[in-house]
Amino acid sequence: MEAGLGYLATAYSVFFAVLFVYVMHLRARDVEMSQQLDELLETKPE
Amino acid sequence: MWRVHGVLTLLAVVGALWAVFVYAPTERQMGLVQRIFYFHVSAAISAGLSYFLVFVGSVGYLRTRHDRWDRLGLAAAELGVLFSLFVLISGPLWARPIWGVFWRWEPRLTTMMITFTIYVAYLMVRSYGEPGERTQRFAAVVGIFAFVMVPFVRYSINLWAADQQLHPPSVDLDPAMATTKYVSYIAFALLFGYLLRLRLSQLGNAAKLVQLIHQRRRIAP
Amino acid sequence: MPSLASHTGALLRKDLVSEWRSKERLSPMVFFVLLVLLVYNFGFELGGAALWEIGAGVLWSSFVFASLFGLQRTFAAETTNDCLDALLVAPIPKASLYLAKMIGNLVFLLLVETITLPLFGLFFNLTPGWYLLSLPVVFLLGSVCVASVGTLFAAMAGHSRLREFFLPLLVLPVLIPALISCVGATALILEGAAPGRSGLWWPEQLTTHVTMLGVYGVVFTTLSLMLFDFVIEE
Repeated sequence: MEAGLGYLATAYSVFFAVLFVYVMHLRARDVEMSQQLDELLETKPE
Repeated sequence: MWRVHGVLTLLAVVGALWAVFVYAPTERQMGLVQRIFYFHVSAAISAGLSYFLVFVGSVGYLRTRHDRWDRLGLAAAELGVLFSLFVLISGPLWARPIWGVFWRWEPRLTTMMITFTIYVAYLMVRSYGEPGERTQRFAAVVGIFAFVMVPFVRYSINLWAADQQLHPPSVDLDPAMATTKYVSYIAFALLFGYLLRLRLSQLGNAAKLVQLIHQRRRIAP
Repeated sequence: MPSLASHTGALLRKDLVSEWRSKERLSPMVFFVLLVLLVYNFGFELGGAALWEIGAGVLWSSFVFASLFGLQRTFAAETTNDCLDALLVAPIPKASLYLAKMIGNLVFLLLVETITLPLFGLFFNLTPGWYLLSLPVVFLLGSVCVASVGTLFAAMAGHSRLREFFLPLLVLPVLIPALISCVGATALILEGAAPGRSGLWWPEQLTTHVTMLGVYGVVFTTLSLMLFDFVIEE
């Protein structure tokens, strides 16, 4: 049943790939928000 | 709290992987490929839970009009779609070596596919709507409708494709396999919880940021 | 005191009269169904045996696609001149707005079906028979499902950047359970009408499908009615 191995590996790789992409996407949003906060802090010096 | 949750999740997922690939015995008939089952089923359950949470968020939002419920709906829908996507991909990958075809219009897979499209539509209503109260309200309406539809879709598809059922209704699992299954459930529960909290906290921060921007705009001419 | 029914009736009459004068929804829908049937004819060989196998599906998909066009326009009249705001401010229950629109859509759908079904029979050489009695039941129930869901989502469609995609994206997946029963029921009926068949006007299994359709009709309408209030507040 070695043929199954390829499918098995693909399936689990897909799982982690999807997870990874989602987490990266979230991090990108975080970075964006961080930048916006920085801008805000600059425009109103306190 | 974050750290603890994160570490636990990581441990659980690693543990689940070990259980899936090492601890669980190889199934007699299907061989190695059968190991997809553990994550496939856990993902399906997580997706179902997500859709329920979308419903909760939608109802909560329509009753209280607090944004936190709306954010729950959005975060849960995103996770639901992601987990469903994995179910829809892992299913065919499992099917191909076993049944010879990637896709059969059999009840569970077809139901998952339809549910998937409904929740993708939910996300589209949000992203293509003008940001604001109205879109949130519409999304909540769709979220409620979508969840009510789920049992009907299941019932109808089961009627329609009864002869095509490829999922055995229940299987007696080898104890080691049963354990692996439960370990996967736990891992997924932790992972789901972690991702949900992550996304919710981010959405909450985004909302605060927007508020801050508005405040600043009002003060500074 | 004016009741839900009288408000609904008044709104419904307004819509029906206005459509009767302009016919801007009915005629295009009828022709669209015919065109889709034409396309299907060239896509699949519908003469002969194929008819009994896929005729029901062809029929229902044509109607569903045509109905999407018709449903888009449900609230078109109200978006001009702030009519909708006027309606909301008026002391009428929002339910009557939903019911009037839904019944209006139902009437359009039934009219389209009444006009196109005989033509379908003509093109594909269906001999008239007792089955003609059971078809309207299926079409009525199916149209209720389409109209109820379609009206709710049509109220939301106008505000989205998705525009004309909004309705199909939401209505189609949601209608699938009902569609399964519609097609199943129609196929059963047509089977009975096939040459050499018993010509039963109510095959046994039809009851299951029709019951399901009845349930869907009730559920869809009730749910849409309840949720409509939230869609239409402004």
